[in-house]
Amino acid sequence: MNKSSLKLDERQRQIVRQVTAVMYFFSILYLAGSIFYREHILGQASTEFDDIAILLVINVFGIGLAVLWAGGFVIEKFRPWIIGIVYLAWVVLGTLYTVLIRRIHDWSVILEKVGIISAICAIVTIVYLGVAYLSRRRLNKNLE
Amino acid sequence: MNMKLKLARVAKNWSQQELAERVEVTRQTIGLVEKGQFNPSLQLCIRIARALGKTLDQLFWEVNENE
Repeated sequence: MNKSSLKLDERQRQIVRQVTAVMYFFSILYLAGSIFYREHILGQASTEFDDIAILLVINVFGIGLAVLWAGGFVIEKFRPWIIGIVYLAWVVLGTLYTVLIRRIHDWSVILEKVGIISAICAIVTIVYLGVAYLSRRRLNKNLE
Repeated sequence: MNMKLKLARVAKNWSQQELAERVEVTRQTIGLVEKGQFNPSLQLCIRIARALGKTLDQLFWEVNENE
Protein backbone atom coordinates (compact mmCIF):
# COMPACT_ATOMS: atom_id res chain seq x y z
CA MET A 1 0.00 0.00 0.00
CA ASN A 2 1.63 3.26 -1.07
CA LYS A 3 1.41 6.56 0.78
CA SER A 4 -1.08 8.17 -1.62
CA SER A 5 -3.59 5.36 -1.13
CA LEU A 6 -3.75 6.29 2.55
CA LYS A 7 -4.46 9.95 1.79
CA LEU A 8 -8.16 10.72 1.59
CA ASP A 9 -9.47 13.13 -1.02
CA GLU A 10 -12.21 15.63 -0.27
CA ARG A 11 -15.07 13.29 -1.26
CA GLN A 12 -13.73 10.52 0.97
CA ARG A 13 -13.19 12.95 3.85
CA GLN A 14 -16.77 14.19 3.41
CA ILE A 15 -18.10 10.62 3.57
CA VAL A 16 -15.98 9.78 6.63
CA ARG A 17 -17.25 12.92 8.39
CA GLN A 18 -20.88 12.18 7.56
CA VAL A 19 -20.62 8.57 8.68
CA THR A 20 -18.79 9.60 11.86
CA ALA A 21 -21.47 12.17 12.68
CA VAL A 22 -24.28 9.66 12.14
CA MET A 23 -22.49 6.99 14.20
CA TYR A 24 -21.84 9.54 16.95
CA PHE A 25 -25.55 10.32 17.03
CA PHE A 26 -26.37 6.60 17.28
CA SER A 27 -23.78 6.16 20.07
CA ILE A 28 -25.55 8.84 22.06
CA LEU A 29 -28.88 7.12 21.40
CA TYR A 30 -27.45 3.73 22.46
CA LEU A 31 -26.13 5.23 25.69
CA ALA A 32 -29.49 6.84 26.44
CA GLY A 33 -31.19 3.55 25.53
CA SER A 34 -28.91 1.61 27.86
CA ILE A 35 -29.84 3.94 30.73
CA PHE A 36 -33.52 3.40 29.96
CA TYR A 37 -33.04 -0.38 29.71
CA ARG A 38 -31.10 -0.65 32.94
CA GLU A 39 -33.59 1.45 34.87
CA HIS A 40 -36.91 0.18 33.49
CA ILE A 41 -36.15 -3.39 32.34
CA LEU A 42 -33.41 -4.48 34.73
CA GLY A 43 -34.76 -2.32 37.56
CA GLN A 44 -31.33 -1.00 38.53
CA ALA A 45 -31.03 2.02 40.80
CA SER A 46 -30.06 5.24 39.03
CA THR A 47 -26.83 5.37 41.03
CA GLU A 48 -25.69 2.24 39.15
CA PHE A 49 -25.56 4.05 35.81
CA ASP A 50 -24.64 7.54 36.90
CA ASP A 51 -21.31 7.06 35.11
CA ILE A 52 -23.09 6.62 31.75
CA ALA A 53 -25.35 9.59 32.47
CA ILE A 54 -22.34 11.78 33.31
CA LEU A 55 -20.53 10.68 30.13
CA LEU A 56 -23.66 11.48 28.11
CA VAL A 57 -23.95 14.95 29.62
CA ILE A 58 -20.25 15.69 29.10
CA ASN A 59 -20.49 14.47 25.48
CA VAL A 60 -23.56 16.53 24.62
CA PHE A 61 -22.14 19.56 26.45
CA GLY A 62 -18.81 19.06 24.66
CA ILE A 63 -20.29 18.86 21.18
CA GLY A 64 -22.15 22.11 21.76
CA LEU A 65 -18.93 23.79 22.88
CA ALA A 66 -16.96 22.37 19.94
CA VAL A 67 -19.55 23.52 17.39
CA LEU A 68 -19.60 27.00 18.91
CA TRP A 69 -15.80 27.24 19.08
CA ALA A 70 -15.31 25.97 15.52
CA GLY A 71 -17.75 28.59 14.23
CA GLY A 72 -20.44 26.11 13.20
CA PHE A 73 -22.97 28.33 14.94
CA VAL A 74 -22.15 32.02 15.18
CA ILE A 75 -24.16 34.28 17.47
CA GLU A 76 -24.06 37.73 15.87
CA LYS A 77 -26.08 39.52 18.56
CA PHE A 78 -26.53 38.41 22.14
CA ARG A 79 -30.22 39.16 22.66
CA PRO A 80 -31.14 38.76 26.36
CA TRP A 81 -34.68 37.52 25.65
CA ILE A 82 -33.42 34.72 23.36
CA ILE A 83 -30.80 33.73 25.95
CA GLY A 84 -33.58 33.73 28.57
CA ILE A 85 -35.81 31.49 26.46
CA VAL A 86 -32.98 29.03 25.77
CA TYR A 87 -32.10 28.98 29.48
CA LEU A 88 -35.71 28.37 30.48
CA ALA A 89 -36.08 25.63 27.85
CA TRP A 90 -33.02 23.86 29.27
CA VAL A 91 -34.36 24.12 32.81
CA VAL A 92 -37.79 22.79 31.76
CA LEU A 93 -36.32 19.94 29.71
CA GLY A 94 -33.80 19.05 32.43
CA THR A 95 -36.53 19.04 35.07
CA LEU A 96 -38.89 16.95 32.95
CA TYR A 97 -36.11 14.46 32.19
CA THR A 98 -35.10 14.17 35.86
CA VAL A 99 -38.68 13.87 37.12
CA LEU A 100 -39.64 11.27 34.53
CA ILE A 101 -36.46 9.18 34.69
CA ARG A 102 -36.26 9.17 38.49
CA ARG A 103 -40.04 8.93 38.90
CA ILE A 104 -40.22 11.76 41.43
CA HIS A 105 -43.71 12.59 42.73
CA ASP A 106 -42.89 14.62 45.83
CA TRP A 107 -43.16 18.38 45.08
CA SER A 108 -40.52 19.32 47.64
CA VAL A 109 -38.03 16.99 45.93
CA ILE A 110 -39.03 18.35 42.51
CA LEU A 111 -38.44 21.93 43.71
CA GLU A 112 -35.08 20.92 45.11
CA LYS A 113 -34.17 19.35 41.73
CA VAL A 114 -35.34 22.51 39.90
CA GLY A 115 -32.95 24.53 42.07
CA ILE A 116 -30.00 22.26 41.19
CA ILE A 117 -30.94 22.11 37.48
CA SER A 118 -31.36 25.91 37.31
CA ALA A 119 -27.88 26.40 38.76
CA ILE A 120 -26.30 23.86 36.37
CA CYS A 121 -28.11 25.39 33.37
CA ALA A 122 -26.97 28.87 34.42
CA ILE A 123 -23.34 27.70 34.51
CA VAL A 124 -23.75 25.94 31.13
CA THR A 125 -25.37 29.05 29.60
CA ILE A 126 -22.59 31.32 30.87
CA VAL A 127 -19.88 28.96 29.55
CA TYR A 128 -21.64 28.67 26.17
CA LEU A 129 -22.02 32.46 25.92
CA GLY A 130 -18.37 32.94 26.81
CA VAL A 131 -17.21 30.42 24.19
CA ALA A 132 -19.61 31.90 21.59
CA TYR A 133 -18.22 35.38 22.25
CA LEU A 134 -14.57 34.25 22.10
CA SER A 135 -15.23 32.19 18.96
CA ARG A 136 -16.91 35.12 17.18
CA ARG A 137 -14.02 37.41 18.14
CA ARG A 138 -11.49 34.86 16.86
CA LEU A 139 -13.35 34.39 13.57
CA ASN A 140 -13.75 38.13 12.99
CA LYS A 141 -10.08 38.66 13.79
CA ASN A 142 -9.14 36.14 11.10
CA LEU A 143 -11.28 38.04 8.57
CA GLU A 144 -9.48 41.34 9.05
CA MET B 1 -23.96 14.75 -15.93
CA ASN B 2 -20.89 16.88 -16.63
CA MET B 3 -20.24 16.09 -20.29
CA LYS B 4 -17.89 19.06 -20.69
CA LEU B 5 -15.47 17.60 -18.19
CA LYS B 6 -15.67 14.16 -19.75
CA LEU B 7 -15.14 15.58 -23.27
CA ALA B 8 -12.17 17.66 -22.13
CA ARG B 9 -10.62 14.61 -20.49
CA VAL B 10 -11.22 12.38 -23.52
CA ALA B 11 -9.81 15.10 -25.80
CA LYS B 12 -6.57 14.84 -23.83
CA ASN B 13 -6.78 11.08 -24.23
CA TRP B 14 -6.63 10.62 -20.48
CA SER B 15 -8.41 7.96 -18.48
CA GLN B 16 -10.26 8.90 -15.30
CA GLN B 17 -7.35 7.37 -13.39
CA GLU B 18 -4.80 9.60 -15.13
CA LEU B 19 -6.78 12.76 -14.41
CA ALA B 20 -7.36 11.60 -10.85
CA GLU B 21 -3.63 11.15 -10.28
CA ARG B 22 -2.87 14.60 -11.70
CA VAL B 23 -5.34 16.34 -9.38
CA GLU B 24 -4.59 14.03 -6.44
CA VAL B 25 -8.02 12.47 -5.92
CA THR B 26 -9.36 8.96 -6.43
CA ARG B 27 -10.70 7.69 -9.76
CA GLN B 28 -14.11 7.29 -8.15
CA THR B 29 -14.19 10.99 -7.31
CA ILE B 30 -13.54 11.96 -10.93
CA GLY B 31 -16.16 9.46 -12.07
CA LEU B 32 -18.74 10.88 -9.68
CA VAL B 33 -17.94 14.47 -10.70
CA GLU B 34 -18.45 13.49 -14.34
CA LYS B 35 -21.74 11.81 -13.48
CA GLY B 36 -22.84 14.89 -11.55
CA GLN B 37 -23.15 12.91 -8.33
CA PHE B 38 -20.48 14.76 -6.38
CA ASN B 39 -20.04 18.52 -6.13
CA PRO B 40 -16.31 19.23 -5.97
CA SER B 41 -14.91 22.13 -3.96
CA LEU B 42 -13.74 25.24 -5.79
CA GLN B 43 -10.12 24.23 -5.11
CA LEU B 44 -10.67 20.87 -6.79
CA CYS B 45 -12.48 22.50 -9.73
CA ILE B 46 -9.47 24.80 -10.21
CA ARG B 47 -7.04 21.86 -10.04
CA ILE B 48 -9.08 19.94 -12.63
CA ALA B 49 -9.37 22.99 -14.90
CA ARG B 50 -5.60 23.64 -14.68
CA ALA B 51 -4.78 20.00 -15.39
CA LEU B 52 -7.00 20.00 -18.47
CA GLY B 53 -5.86 23.46 -19.62
CA LYS B 54 -9.41 24.87 -19.48
CA THR B 55 -11.15 27.62 -17.57
CA LEU B 56 -13.74 26.98 -14.89
CA ASP B 57 -16.43 28.36 -17.21
CA GLN B 58 -15.48 25.93 -19.96
CA LEU B 59 -15.75 22.95 -17.65
CA PHE B 60 -18.36 23.75 -15.06
CA TRP B 61 -20.56 26.64 -16.14
CA GLU B 62 -24.02 25.52 -17.18
CA VAL B 63 -25.67 27.89 -19.64
CA ASN B 64 -29.32 28.49 -18.87
CA GLU B 65 -31.47 28.37 -22.02
CA ASN B 66 -33.33 31.49 -20.86
CA GLU B 67 -30.11 33.53 -20.68
